[in-house]
Amino acid sequence: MTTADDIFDQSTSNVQGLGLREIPFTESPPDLESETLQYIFTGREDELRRVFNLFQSRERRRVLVYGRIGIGKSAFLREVLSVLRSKRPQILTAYISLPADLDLATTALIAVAREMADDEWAQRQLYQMGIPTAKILKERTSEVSGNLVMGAKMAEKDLPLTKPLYPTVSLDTLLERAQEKYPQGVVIAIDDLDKRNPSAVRQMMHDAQGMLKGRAWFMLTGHPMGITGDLLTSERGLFDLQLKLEELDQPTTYKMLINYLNSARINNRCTDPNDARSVLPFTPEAAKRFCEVSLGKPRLFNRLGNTVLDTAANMQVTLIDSEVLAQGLKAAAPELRERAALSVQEERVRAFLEQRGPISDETITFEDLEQLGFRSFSEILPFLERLEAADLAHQLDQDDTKAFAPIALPPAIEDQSVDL
Amino acid sequence: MPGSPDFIDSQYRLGNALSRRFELNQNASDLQDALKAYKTALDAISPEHYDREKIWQALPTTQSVLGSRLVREGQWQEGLQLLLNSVRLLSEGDDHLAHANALYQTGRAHETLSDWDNARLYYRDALRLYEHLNDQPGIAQSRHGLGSVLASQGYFKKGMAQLQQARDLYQQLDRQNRVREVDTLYQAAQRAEQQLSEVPA
Repeated sequence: MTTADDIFDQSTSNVQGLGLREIPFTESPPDLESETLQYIFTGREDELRRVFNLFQSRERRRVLVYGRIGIGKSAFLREVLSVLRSKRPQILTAYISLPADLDLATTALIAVAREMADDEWAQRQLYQMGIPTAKILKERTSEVSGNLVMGAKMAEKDLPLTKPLYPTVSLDTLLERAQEKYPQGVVIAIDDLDKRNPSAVRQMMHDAQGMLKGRAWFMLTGHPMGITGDLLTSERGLFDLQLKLEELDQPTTYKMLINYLNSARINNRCTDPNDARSVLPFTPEAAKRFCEVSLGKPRLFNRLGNTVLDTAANMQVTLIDSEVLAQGLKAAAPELRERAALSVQEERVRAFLEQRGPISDETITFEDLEQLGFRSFSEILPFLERLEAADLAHQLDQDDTKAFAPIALPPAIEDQSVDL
Repeated sequence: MPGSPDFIDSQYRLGNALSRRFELNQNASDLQDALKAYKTALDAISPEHYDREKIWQALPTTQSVLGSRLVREGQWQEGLQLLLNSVRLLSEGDDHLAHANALYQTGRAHETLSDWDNARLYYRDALRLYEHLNDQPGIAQSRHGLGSVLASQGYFKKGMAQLQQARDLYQQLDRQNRVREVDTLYQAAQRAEQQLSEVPA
């Protein structure tokens, strides 16, 4: 065996030493087809109930799911679709992350066409946009010759790549075809609208009003506050349900940790929060502390979880107690910074935030801004939002101000003096 | 001749003349033409020329005035875009008062668009800069705008506190029309707060 083989085996053995088949934490939610989603999706009962209540009606609805970055909007969408797929197979469900520079109608068209592999017209739409299809489509031409001997010649060539000229009309046609096979309707979930420029999203929504009120159900994810508030005001009546996803509370986060660990644990399937085995390889104290530091934000929970388990595996321990957790959290801070690849200006804002503690557009002074090389809070806001996206800052729940605080990754219990 | 010192100077002067004519007749097309003239002058002048700074400063200031005008006339997106552009350009220059004015106008544009969060953000930015410059009319109008937005969002106490300070300043500046406007807003906020407190929990 080569050295690389040895290292691989050692790495596997280290994770198994923690009683796990694999590290279960992932930054993006699992695929719709994956069984893992059902294991790990936790909480949001009220929100699920409100969405599923809508599905008891024949009326097509539009649902906007909004909340801060990393709060679990994508996982929520996928969980809803996953349940619909198992409970209502006569509904066609389609999920897509909004591609750059595409309008909503073309995006929806792609999402639905991808789910209709047997429909040649749908596949042709995809193929013409340069999107791979299950089978290669060729343009057929036929030529009949009438000489002494009757002859026929068929030729094939690649179809030209073109964007649909009238995507709304094409989508409508596709939905009509889909409804023949899926009489209970079509649900289109378009994710990641919040990753686009708010003013572009506002315009897209405005342009797509007719489509959104058309033949299909729509579920969209939206921006945390400004844009969503604006959308709800300016496009009044566009959404039947606006769901705000908030941070998970501590007991739910603890339950989520149990579910994640349970999905990868080798020996026991204990899920009782009162039983210490449910959070193995964490000790209950370390598990509680880990949940506190994760702030009820699923993506931060996953990022930190990944680093903590990775650190524990490298230390070749079998149990994650407070001391091991502290080591993991210590490793997480520089890792998050490294992954974020901050610009000089973003790093300045981060350092300022870490040194100063919470700042807001109401409390920041002109001198503070000058220290950062700016004269207005609106100029540093994009940097703060970037830090939030990188889990290096989080927005505080204050409705009348924009307030941000650093994400504190302190040592778990001991070694309080260590500067993170 | 395009590119010559005379051409650049005449474009700059044309921009100034059109801006002044706008102040008299309030015709937005004069501002649009002024912008064009400033842009032409800027395109033609060399980056090192000592007059460039003067023209460069006239451009975002005109953008800011035209932007707020367009928003008022219903051309919201175009107006807002101009305002945001002027804020960006002025944040890099030395004319702090023009920057504060552009921030204030951007706050107003967002308020017109019912985008309360952004309106609040820009009013607070304008207020901070006006306070730094000790510009009393600017402070008064920013507090007026901020109070109005906070009250619209249902933060009546905070909103009324801002309106009260705006009123005191307008009084000192002897702007009676503004005092009356603030009074009307303050009373509406007070009534709304009372009605809300009477609703059983």
